[in-house]
Amino acid sequence: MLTFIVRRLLWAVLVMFVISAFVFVLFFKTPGVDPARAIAGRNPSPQILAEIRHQFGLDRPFPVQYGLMMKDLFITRDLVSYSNQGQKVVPEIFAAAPATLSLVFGAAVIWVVMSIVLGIAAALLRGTIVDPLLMILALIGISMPVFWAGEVANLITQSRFHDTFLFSWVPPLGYTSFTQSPVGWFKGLLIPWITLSILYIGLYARVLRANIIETESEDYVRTARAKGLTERRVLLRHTLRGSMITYVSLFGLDFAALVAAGALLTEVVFAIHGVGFLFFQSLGNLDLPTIMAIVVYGAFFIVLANVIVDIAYAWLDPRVRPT
Amino acid sequence: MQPPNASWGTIISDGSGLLYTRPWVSIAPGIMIVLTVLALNVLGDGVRDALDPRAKLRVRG
Repeated sequence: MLTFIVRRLLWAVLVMFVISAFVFVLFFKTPGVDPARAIAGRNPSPQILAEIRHQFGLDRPFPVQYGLMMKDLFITRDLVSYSNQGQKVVPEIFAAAPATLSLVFGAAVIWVVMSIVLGIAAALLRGTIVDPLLMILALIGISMPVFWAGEVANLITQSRFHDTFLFSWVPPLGYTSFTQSPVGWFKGLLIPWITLSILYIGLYARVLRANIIETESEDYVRTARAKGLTERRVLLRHTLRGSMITYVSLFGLDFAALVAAGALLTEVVFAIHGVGFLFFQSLGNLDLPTIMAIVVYGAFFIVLANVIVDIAYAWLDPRVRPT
Repeated sequence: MQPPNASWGTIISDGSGLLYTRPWVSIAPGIMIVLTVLALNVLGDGVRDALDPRAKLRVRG
């Protein structure tokens, strides 16, 4: 177990190094991108550009720049934003994280519950009209781009039907923190949660349905039936458990990707100032320190999710347990 | 994408400013995206079913 953890930690460091180096190189090698110009604003003189390059260390060799940035990010933790003068990046991300976590956790709860219910329903009702209907609904959900679904949701809840009893409770766009007002937090996030989870409900319901149907023909399910277990127990303890393996690995990775600023379009559409919103802004401003910090933060969550998925695997499937 | 070129996505993003007054600017390209992606998904499912050697149910043709 100890070697497993140590190996995992080394792996995590390696992944973060590779990703951050890759983003760093990408940033400077993209044609037409000049961070000094982005900092300087409109029509800067060459002297000012040179001054800015020197001030931000942009005239130093590549590896030195990378090293300095990593030092500021991890050791002194006082990395400063390019575009937002004096703003320290690390506290900024920590301040934005609760909004993102609230959004993603809530959406995850909705999408897990809904997709399991719909996936089981479709698999059990195979051969009836319900199954194809549910799967078409799932496909429509998968096909909707999230920023568009969000705009339509805003149109309905903020404008067209806002004055009816259905949506009069929806507060204006924005994020209220849980500590400030739990009720406001819930009301403000409910529509974003539903919007974000639509895609995943469709995706996961389809995956689960296919896996349940495949698992149904496994020998151990027949054995469970032959033992005289009730259908309900066969479904929950044997079929569903065997079907959840793909589901869990998908979930771990999708969830981590969303926490790692992957929900940025949802955050932008609903004006939730989370990490994704920050990422969106810093991409627009070419604010490299913020971009790098968020990328490293995101890589951390993805590596962490991989570890948790591996553990969950072993718990679900005795076949992959280390002996 | 730079203007004057347009994509469905940029039309949606341009229309977001007009969302409450002229919603169809954003809704129409969105519906086109949904239909296109839906069609591709259905095509993908069809190809998978047709090529899956383990599929027990085959449409006779």
